[in-house]
Amino acid sequence: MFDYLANPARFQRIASVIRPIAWLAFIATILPGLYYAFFNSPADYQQGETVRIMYVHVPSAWMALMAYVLMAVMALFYLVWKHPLADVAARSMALPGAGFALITLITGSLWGAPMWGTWWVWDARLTSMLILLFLYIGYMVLVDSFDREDRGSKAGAVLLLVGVINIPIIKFSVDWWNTLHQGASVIRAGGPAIDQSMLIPLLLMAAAAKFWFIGITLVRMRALLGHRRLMARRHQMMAKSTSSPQAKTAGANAHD
Amino acid sequence: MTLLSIQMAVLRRDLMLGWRGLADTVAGLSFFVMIIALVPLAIGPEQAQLTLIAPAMLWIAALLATLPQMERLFARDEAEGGIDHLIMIPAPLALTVLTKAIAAWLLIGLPLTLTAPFLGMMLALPLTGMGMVMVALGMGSFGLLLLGMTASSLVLGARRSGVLIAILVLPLAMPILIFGTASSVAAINGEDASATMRFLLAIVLIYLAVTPWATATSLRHAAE
Repeated sequence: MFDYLANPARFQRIASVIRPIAWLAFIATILPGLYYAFFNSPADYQQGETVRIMYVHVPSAWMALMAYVLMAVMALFYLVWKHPLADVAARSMALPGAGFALITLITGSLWGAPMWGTWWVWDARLTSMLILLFLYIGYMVLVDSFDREDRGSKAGAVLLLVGVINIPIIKFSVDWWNTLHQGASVIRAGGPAIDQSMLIPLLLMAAAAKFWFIGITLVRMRALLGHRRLMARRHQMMAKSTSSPQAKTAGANAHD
Repeated sequence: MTLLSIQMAVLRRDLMLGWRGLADTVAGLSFFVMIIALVPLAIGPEQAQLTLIAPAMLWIAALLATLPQMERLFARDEAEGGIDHLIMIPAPLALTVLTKAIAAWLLIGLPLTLTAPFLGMMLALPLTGMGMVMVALGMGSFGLLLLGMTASSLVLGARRSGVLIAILVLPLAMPILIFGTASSVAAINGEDASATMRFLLAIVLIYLAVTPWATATSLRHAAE
């Protein structure tokens, strides 16, 4: 199947079919998701109405982690099978993934303000998410730091693989650190099993986040592939114009 | 030439180059001392307060002082076209990378570790447990340099390198900071530091298993 998708033109054709389906599925899940989250789910007996932040916070957190793992899988495909599409996919997922990490941090902070009485608590999950955001930023800056694009892609892929091996270690370290330094903050980890009335909007919102991610990744991939084609074409034309002196002078005159 | 003699030659070369460029080591060490000197200036000279934050400051200073040194781990090789030579050495590239990491530790990590007790005294730390702190710093700085080798090979040929290495290494180095500081605090308080030391060792061993291959792959990409 992977070889089948290897052809960018064929990939584009398939992607152009998947894209509208992803957007439709996104709309079909986000609308009932928001309805349930805002109007048709109970307020928490302890947290009150603020529990509704969870319907954005938790799906974002899942998505942020999933996007990074997906990028690492793409990095593996890129390094082992030298597949340029895998690199395009990894690059396209980075910014949405980082966005989800940022949304998780912001909503976590908004949630924390009424719950903890302060905007930021060094809670283990928030801290891990902050480090994940740093990992995203490192990747995005690294791939963008080279004049030769493929060099950035390869460096980025190696970084993703090192990073994904590190994520469980970071998670473990931060959890351990947090139990050591546990202050007077409210522990919201674990707790009682979530009620079905809250699970439905949560799952709908999680599905919506995933469909949106698929849609935006495909859009960004199309843009990046188009950009690369444009660059290649420009390169070709420049090569042609320098190879024939007549065309070069004609071009120069036109500029004058 | 056997594998061992090849690696000894690589080690000797790097140490020789390090010895001739001793100013870099001295500058890195001065930076380490200066960061520590900033602490009492910022929070005041009160002994009890300094003792409280001293282990954390030692580790943060060690982390920050190692970062600017990472840029030159491969930069000289690159400037002299030595990356191709490293690849052409008839030995596994990952092993050569590991040898270079050991050389880098002798030039950067070891001096830092040996300076730590004096800085500890300046921050009003008792000498008990300082031996454990040094062992932890020695292990931790080796782990840091392993990450640094990878980061430094990733940024070869990049438009920016200094700040880029910092943002690549720091998130990955947080487990070292967490367990390094925790073991040092335990050792200084006279508690049992062996559990946290083992975690630190485990993390460094994982880096030892992963980073030489990542660095070797990245060096090959850079030489293409």
